[in-house]
Amino acid sequence: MSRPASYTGTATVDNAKAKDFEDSFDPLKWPATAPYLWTDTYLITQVAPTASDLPLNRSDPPDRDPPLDQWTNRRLFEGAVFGGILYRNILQTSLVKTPNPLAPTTISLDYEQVECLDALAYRSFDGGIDLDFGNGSAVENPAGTQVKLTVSKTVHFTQPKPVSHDVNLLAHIMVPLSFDFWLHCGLFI
Amino acid sequence: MSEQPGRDAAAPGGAGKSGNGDHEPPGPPAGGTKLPSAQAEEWHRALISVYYYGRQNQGILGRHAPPIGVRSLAYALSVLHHAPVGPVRMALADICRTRAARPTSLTLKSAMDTLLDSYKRHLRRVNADERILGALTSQFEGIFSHVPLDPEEAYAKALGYMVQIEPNQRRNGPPPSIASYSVTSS
Repeated sequence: MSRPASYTGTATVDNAKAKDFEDSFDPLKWPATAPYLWTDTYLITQVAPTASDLPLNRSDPPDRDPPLDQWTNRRLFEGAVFGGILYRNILQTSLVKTPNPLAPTTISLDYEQVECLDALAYRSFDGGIDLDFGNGSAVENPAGTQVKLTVSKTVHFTQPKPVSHDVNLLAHIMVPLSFDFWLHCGLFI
Repeated sequence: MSEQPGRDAAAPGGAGKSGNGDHEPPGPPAGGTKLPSAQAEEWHRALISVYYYGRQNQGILGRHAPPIGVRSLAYALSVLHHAPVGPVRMALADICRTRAARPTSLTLKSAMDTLLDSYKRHLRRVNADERILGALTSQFEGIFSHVPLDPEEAYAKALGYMVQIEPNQRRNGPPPSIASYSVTSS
């Protein structure tokens, strides 16, 4: 069995604000910024505190909630393209901006996989993931002149089984690439 | 370009092949889940291919054949020439990083020149004049005038030159610059 790909990235950016990296860490912005990496992301409608919030037929998309500026412990749907394979992933996520969403000096994103909806009808190649967690943060220094970025991600793929080895190999390219994407997002506004 | 063992695809701009005939989309999407456009899929594959070729001899990637989705470098560069500026910037900065790790690679030098041409194509659209574009070429060549060069330093320099030349819509102060950057396997 392939081992998970696990990476940590750090960057220090001078002449930058934490707010510059809002789009980097907001998963709801990713499909617009990088349609070549994500097809769709949205917060899932909460049914009840103990419910899964997911449709019984996992080929159906979960119900969509309106976007928020920040949130804690909400389930998020992501349609992520990975080596040409579409993964429909459900993540437990928190996006927190402090001291407030309008003028944040710290932005943090935490995510952990809940389930990969690996049964999308009509596409024989949709994939499965059994491990996907990580976090990212942008922290502004007190002078407001520098931002420290820290990102980490661990992921492991199980489907499509005939090419799962390839996809796990590809993770060693895609995970560093996703870190670069977050950095570019903040630099080129 | 001799370092191109990857699986190839159809003509630039087309939907292409996935490299595995069993994994073509046979029909329409179900249930309203958005699928990537054919163009977005090609940009995706082109970008990961550039990232792959810079690392193909390193670590775990060096012990295996090119994974699914990876195209030949020449094909990837031709797709990126018509891609939006975002993936072009990412590919150009990354090829500078990987070229710093393999400074004698003529393939990576050629790839950098091609990506720089693609990037300058975007800059011409926002009216960058030829004198500025010429200076940009010199800056990118200058990244490699001192070897050995730390790959992350080359990456930061490449990003810095692009940040300086592109107008920023939000900031009034000096352009951001990368003081440090590193990615490590854990």
